[in-house]
Amino acid sequence: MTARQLGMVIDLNKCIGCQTCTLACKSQWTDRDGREFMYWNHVETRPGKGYPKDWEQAGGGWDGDTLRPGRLPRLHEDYGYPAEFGYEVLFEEGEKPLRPKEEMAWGPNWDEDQGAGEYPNSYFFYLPRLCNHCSNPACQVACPRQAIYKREEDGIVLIDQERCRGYRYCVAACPYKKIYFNPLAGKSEKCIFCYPRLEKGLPQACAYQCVGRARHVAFLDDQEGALHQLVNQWKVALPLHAEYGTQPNVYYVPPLSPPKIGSNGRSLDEPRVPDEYLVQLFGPGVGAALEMLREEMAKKNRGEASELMDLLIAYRHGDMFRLDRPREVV
Amino acid sequence: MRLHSSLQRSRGVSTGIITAVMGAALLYGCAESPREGAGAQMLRETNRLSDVVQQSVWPWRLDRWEGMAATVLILHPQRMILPRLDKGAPVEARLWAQMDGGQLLLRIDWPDTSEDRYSTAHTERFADALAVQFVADDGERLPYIGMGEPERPVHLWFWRAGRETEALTAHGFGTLEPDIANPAPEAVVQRTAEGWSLLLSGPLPVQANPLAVSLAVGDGAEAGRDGRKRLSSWHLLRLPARPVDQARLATLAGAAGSDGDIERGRRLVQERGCTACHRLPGSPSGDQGPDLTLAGGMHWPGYLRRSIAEPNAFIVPDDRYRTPEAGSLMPALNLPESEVEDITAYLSSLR
Ligand code: SF4
Ligand code: SF4
Repeated sequence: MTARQLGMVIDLNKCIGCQTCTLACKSQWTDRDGREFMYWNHVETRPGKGYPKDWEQAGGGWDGDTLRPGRLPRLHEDYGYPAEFGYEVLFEEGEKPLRPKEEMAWGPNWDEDQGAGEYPNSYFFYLPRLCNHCSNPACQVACPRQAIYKREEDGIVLIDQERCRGYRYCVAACPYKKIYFNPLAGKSEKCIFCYPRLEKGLPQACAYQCVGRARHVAFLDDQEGALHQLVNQWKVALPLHAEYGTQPNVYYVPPLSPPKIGSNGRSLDEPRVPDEYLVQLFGPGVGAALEMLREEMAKKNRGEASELMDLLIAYRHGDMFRLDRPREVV
Repeated sequence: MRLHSSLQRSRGVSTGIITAVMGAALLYGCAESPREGAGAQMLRETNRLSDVVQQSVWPWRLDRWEGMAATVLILHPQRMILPRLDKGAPVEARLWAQMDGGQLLLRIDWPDTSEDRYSTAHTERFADALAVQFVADDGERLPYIGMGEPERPVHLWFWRAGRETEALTAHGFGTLEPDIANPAPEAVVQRTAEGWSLLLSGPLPVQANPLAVSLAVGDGAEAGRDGRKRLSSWHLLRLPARPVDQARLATLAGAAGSDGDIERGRRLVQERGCTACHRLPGSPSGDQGPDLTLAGGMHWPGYLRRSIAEPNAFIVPDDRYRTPEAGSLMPALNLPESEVEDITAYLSSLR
């Protein structure tokens, strides 16, 4: 536990899977020098195998107070390497199509929009993922060189690039697989929660650029902040895979979904995205959170006031970010 | 071809280490006087000392070591500190050492059936690696074998297949950092059918004579890195053409052996409760203290003797081995001297 903890809430009902956050992060931090395959932030389609492929089966996290073993994702097979294209063919005669030079095997949104279920009850939703800047970070404990530290003033988890020797115990230990080994540099790297931006009063690139206004940023102990209100008061924002034991600080408002359609073509009294599936991801609080969202939505639909809806709608973009820091840009 | 025949020849003599070292002395005629002190003799008998010959072998190539005998060092899986290498057989490395002017040349051959080179196209692979550890000072007691101790730093030459070599320094486990005082060694490497043959050279990182060194190898195929390595115990190199600190040699010789009774020691580790906390052959469950199943392969008897008699003298750098008051978890046993010696002899036999 650090003195303060900055966190993020991502409202999955507002995420449209546009990957603007992904590119905001990539163009800011990971577009070169061995980071090409890394997506500190990405949006995966659920149900799906995600990125890196099958990360939920890759181990890591805590088993009581001991680290659970984990495996290291492979560059081409599990992350997927950005393809080179043979642009020369465009200048050649004939109708040869532009194709990657090497067959790609996976990528950060490889199974995008596939989801599960059969028409007319097929379903999916988007899950943006980034480092959770955990309060009990398995990555930090796994490093025998104490190269990973958690900042006292905001709980941001960082890798000291001078101390890192590329042992990758952290990569195996992070159950979210949000540490990436840079094979060119020979060191591990991860989301830095945009601390250089924060220190200038700017919100994280992924949050700030979100066109759906799906991301709130605040300190957890800030009673006026969205984190405290959505997580502790309204209890509609839930951690992803809390059972991994790392105490993540990115929270998600679980997705509502339209009703299932019965064989007679009528709507059933059952949501398209099965509650059990959401419980697997976000834990037992899912039912109550969805119920709360439905109730408050209904209020708003009836023309009544709803503080929760107003908070989630975020009429003023600037209100979504409470950084407690000098703000040069709002 | 020439390399191969030289490898074969040295394997032939490696069974008799003493013969091998003496062979080198005779061949080059530049070792110390044959009537050397009892200390040096003791160190030789326990394979803890060998002579470095002075010879100009420029240009430094791997095939210029014909006929020179090697020192054989056994590298054991590191099991004292996490992360460790829990499984695996020891590895036999052959070390040739020469001085050419102020340059130290070390050729090390070690078996490793899979060739694992660093690859920028993979995130899950590890490269084969070798480190030479040099004790930085000329203290009368050698520091802890695992990266030295606070205030007892070590210098390292570090090589990894497919990467640049590095000069590193450390003063305890987890403290490894770039060594700004020394240049990275030059490396000439050859992949042989059975493993690696590596020549490292550079200015002497330490001026002490004898110079204490140890070898560590990491096997990429078993995700070797950090503590997941095989490690030799300290070995003394007597450098040519410069004065030898005879007093230090004599003191170090006192740490090189034990005249305790191995069999009595074997019984005593049960009777005195050592096995309750330490893993030992036949007692696999102790995990409160460092694993001692290979104690003799990694530590000199002197280190073991001191640790038994004074548990607080040096605590293996792992939080699990300390009490909250930062003392050793191991109680002072106040054993009679003869029992300390018997246990020392027994632990030293474990390798
Ligand atoms: S999400 Fe992974 S990398 Fe980020 S703090 Fe948690 S354990 Fe560490
Ligand atoms: S907080 Fe910054 S570094 Fe982290 S995922 Fe978002 S944009 Fe990338």
